[in-house]
Amino acid sequence: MKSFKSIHAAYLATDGFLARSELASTGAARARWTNLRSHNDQAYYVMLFAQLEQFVDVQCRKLIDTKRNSKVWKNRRLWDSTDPDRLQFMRKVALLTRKGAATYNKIDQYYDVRCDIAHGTTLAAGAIVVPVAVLDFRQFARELRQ
Amino acid sequence: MTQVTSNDVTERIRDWVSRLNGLYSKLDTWLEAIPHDRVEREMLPQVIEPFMRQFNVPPQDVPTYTVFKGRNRVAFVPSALWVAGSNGRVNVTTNARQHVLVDRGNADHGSNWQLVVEDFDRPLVPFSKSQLVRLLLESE
Repeated sequence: MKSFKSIHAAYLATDGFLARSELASTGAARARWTNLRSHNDQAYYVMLFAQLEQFVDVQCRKLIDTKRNSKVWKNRRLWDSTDPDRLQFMRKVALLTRKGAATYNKIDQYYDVRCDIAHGTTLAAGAIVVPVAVLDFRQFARELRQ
Repeated sequence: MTQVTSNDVTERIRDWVSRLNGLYSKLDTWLEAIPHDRVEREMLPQVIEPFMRQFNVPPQDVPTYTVFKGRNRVAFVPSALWVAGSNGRVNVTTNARQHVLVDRGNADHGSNWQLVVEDFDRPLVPFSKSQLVRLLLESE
């Protein structure tokens, strides 16, 4: 999550500007600022999620490397054939936290939203609250750290 | 994996309206001890969200709540219900700015309304009577 803080800071700066512009306008102009603010939320959301994806990738590689170092072949055989480059994101998450448990399910929901935006769906205004996502992504990172 | 049905979407909207009314009842209670001029409750057509479109569920009317005190006002207007990381969002607008209130609760433990604040490290605080007072005073 190397750039997480600076991306978050950039979000706060841009959202603050858009929020002030929204509040200072009326009618169609206000609706335009509201729309811009929603796009801004979604753009920063994807960037912040990408930081979480990178973190998960690094932690997953750490775990695989550790397991591959086992001296007992029976303990490492599955890990020897686990190629992190070929694992999908939620498969990596399942290596770091229990599949089906609360953290896994929450990350899965956030991942669905990330995929929707990344594949061209424009979400309803208000569907992303970046500060909530920031709080949860930080918590996920604490829980998934190896 | 459980398949979502139109009944689930309809039920979730019904629950949303119920939780909003629960929030406003709490505001009514807090306002008994907070000086203010009046409260206005209105109904507003719900924003159409992707799940509603997908399952052909029509929008319902959702309640809004506005507190007036002199020239100040605090308006609670429901925004999206399907919000990543929370169970619904209410926009809270004062004369000075717009805030966001999110329900971080779940079906097991009920609503847990949290106010988004401009704090880099602690962006959510529990929504309380003192927060409502702060919002009412914000534009003075």
